[in-house]
Amino acid sequence: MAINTKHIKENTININKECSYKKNSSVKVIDLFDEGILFSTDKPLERYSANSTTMAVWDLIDGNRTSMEIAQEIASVGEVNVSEIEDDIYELLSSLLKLGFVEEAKKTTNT
Amino acid sequence: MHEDNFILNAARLNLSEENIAALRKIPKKNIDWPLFERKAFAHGVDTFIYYSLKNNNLSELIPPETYKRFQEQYYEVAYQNSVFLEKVDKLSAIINDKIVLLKGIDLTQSLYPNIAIRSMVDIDILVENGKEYDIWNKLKQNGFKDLNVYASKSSVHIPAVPTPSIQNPNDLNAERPHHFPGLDDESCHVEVHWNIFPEFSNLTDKAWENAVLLNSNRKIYRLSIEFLLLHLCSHFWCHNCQQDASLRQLCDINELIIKHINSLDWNEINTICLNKEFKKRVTSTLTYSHVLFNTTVPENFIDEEFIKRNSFNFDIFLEGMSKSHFSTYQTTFRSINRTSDKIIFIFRTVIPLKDWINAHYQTHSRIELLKAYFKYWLYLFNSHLFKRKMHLGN
Repeated sequence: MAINTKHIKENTININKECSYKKNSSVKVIDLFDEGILFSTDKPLERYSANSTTMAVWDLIDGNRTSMEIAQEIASVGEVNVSEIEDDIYELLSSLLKLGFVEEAKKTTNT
Repeated sequence: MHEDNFILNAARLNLSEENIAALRKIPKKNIDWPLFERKAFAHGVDTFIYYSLKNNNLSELIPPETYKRFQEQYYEVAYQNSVFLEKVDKLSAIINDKIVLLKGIDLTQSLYPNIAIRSMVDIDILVENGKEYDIWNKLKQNGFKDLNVYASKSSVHIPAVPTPSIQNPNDLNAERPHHFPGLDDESCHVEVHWNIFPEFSNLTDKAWENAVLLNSNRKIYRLSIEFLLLHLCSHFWCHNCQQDASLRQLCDINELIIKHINSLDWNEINTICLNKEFKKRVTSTLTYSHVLFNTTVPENFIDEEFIKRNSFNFDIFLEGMSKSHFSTYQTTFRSINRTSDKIIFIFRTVIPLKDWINAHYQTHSRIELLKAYFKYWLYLFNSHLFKRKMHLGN
């Protein structure tokens, strides 16, 4: 039976911009180059489509970069001001967090 | 038929300016979109159409709901193919000998830009002639199930007439001249072939010798480009004789020739096609591809007479695939002689045995089994009566 692939952005929660995230090891990605599919191997029937921006964000999640740094890198590649895209990037990250595809890696402490 | 015209111009990896102009020119109000969808799904080209329209920003040419359904299928194919590709690793870990990947499982990796475009229903592998029974048995010993066991227990997709259980290799050779009954592992169907050119087994030997190494650690091979083309042509010809050939098969041929236009050795193909009957099969397939997709084919592989004789009936070809499962069901039903067998056929179609359901839906509890029966009935009514595209099993 065909499974409806939901869009990532159907799920959002607030995230910390200065927090870095790491990929959950149980998540599998099917890279279709300009888009992709993400799902947890524990729940293969719950699959989510990812557009090119989501895939770019996914590639940058490494447990070290903060949300803000990811937004800055995406802005740099897209040659746009970070303020134009950061809300979208944070929304994407929060969706990935809520779905359990990423988890908090470490928090930077403000001195 | 505007639907056919649209499909033929859109079911390609790269759309030429002529294709785009043709697509724009087709009056959309005259297209029967439900029929268009049915044909695209039946011929396995819905994913090609989604891919080409998306890449050329032409999604507005088809209704949004159709585009959405094609997109869903595109994602579904990507997932299913990822499962198939993982299964190849399992196969190669079990089989210590050389194996050659055939058709979809090779093409999805070697010909197409991503794994969502080319759908497939099973993994076809070629093994060394003489070792086929041992390899088939080895797969069975390592978790692959012989679906033939369930052949007499359900009528859907499986012949109603009970098939004798296989006791030795000779039984198999007599029943099936080129591959063993399929094996299943968690909804993944595998067919072990030892002859890919029925009636021309010497060509299989040559194809085997000329196979190209894909992965040295795993001893996985693929056919050389020339033998791959000939195999696809021969395979299409066999299906066309049974009136169940699909446009997807011609898409494979068209895309293969486009990709290897400069390296494809037509002299070698000529040499391989010395047998007149074999060449006729290859020529008829390449003529289909040339006429329908404008594939570049040498003149000596185009049968002008074949086209002139009007034996080339595009409508029948397209309609052949879009006939419903229900008509196949009726044909099978009529082929059964005894009344008691007819009753069993109907009964087991509606209520398959638990083992058969388990083989397709992998249930682990009674609740899952019950759900599996509901899923099966949903599949049965949608796919067989309403001609909706649905997959059997999880």
